[in-house]
Amino acid sequence: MDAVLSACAIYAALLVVLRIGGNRTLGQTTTFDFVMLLIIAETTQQALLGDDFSVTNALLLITTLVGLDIGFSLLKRRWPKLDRLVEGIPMVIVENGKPLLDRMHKARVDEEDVLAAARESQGLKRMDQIEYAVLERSGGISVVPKRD
Amino acid sequence: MDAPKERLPLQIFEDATFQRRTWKVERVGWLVIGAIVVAALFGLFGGGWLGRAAVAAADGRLSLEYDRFWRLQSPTALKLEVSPPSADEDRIRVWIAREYIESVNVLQVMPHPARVEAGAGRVVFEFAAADTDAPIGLAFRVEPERAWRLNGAIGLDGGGSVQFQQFIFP
Repeated sequence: MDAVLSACAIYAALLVVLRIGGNRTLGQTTTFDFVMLLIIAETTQQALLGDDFSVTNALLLITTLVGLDIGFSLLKRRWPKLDRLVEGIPMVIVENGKPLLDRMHKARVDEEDVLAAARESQGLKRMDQIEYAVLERSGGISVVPKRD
Repeated sequence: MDAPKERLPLQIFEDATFQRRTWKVERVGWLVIGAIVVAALFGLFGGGWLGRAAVAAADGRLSLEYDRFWRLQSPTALKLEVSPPSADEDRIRVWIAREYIESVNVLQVMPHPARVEAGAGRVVFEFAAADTDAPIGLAFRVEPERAWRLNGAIGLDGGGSVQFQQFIFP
């Protein structure tokens, strides 16, 4: 029983904490963010297993977590509002070469992040070559270049 | 709530009101995270200022230092200070209530008891005592195995006793 309850508690807690952290907390790909991800993973694993190293315990935890994921995805299909609440929604942050600064500030994204995404995905050189830049739900930035 | 807008020609689901509300909730969440960290630093989840407590028996022959708040499966210490035995005795007998012993894993008893007796409703630890007039220190290193409220009682056989409660976070 403990394994299932622990898995549910950790799943819910991670959902809430990472959601509060906002999209950018896990969306970036810097080395430090990678390290953060590893640390979170290790901490979670220790707490879930405790000192029970049986195969049964491991399988119970995995099954419960996957089950929660499935249940959650079914709920989200039934109630799209839940999906928006938990996963967030995309947001336009650059329109026609002009960065929307108050939105970017609130989302903790700066122009350098947008320019980096533009270079990586589209090979663009300047902000005015961007028609739209969107902060996606995953925390990444997608860029739509201007076409003449 | 605004109807979802479409920024023509970009087909995207946007909702400014929802976004603003999300940001407000995020800010509140940050405060909560900060409060949790500060509370932990002050010892709410074990250790530190809020966590460590002391209680003494009515006749002054025994005092206990323990963690008021602690966490599951994490070692903690019950530190006892007892008056030295009278001149004709060279043993100290300390009992711990069975309800408490059954809720924790006793990792280490310092010093090693000369004898451990299983009694009705309690376990008695008998220690050999040196010939001294100063208070004697004993320590029980335990690891809680049950979460939430633990009720404990510790006392000297034929002397003072104390009751204590520990709140164990799961």
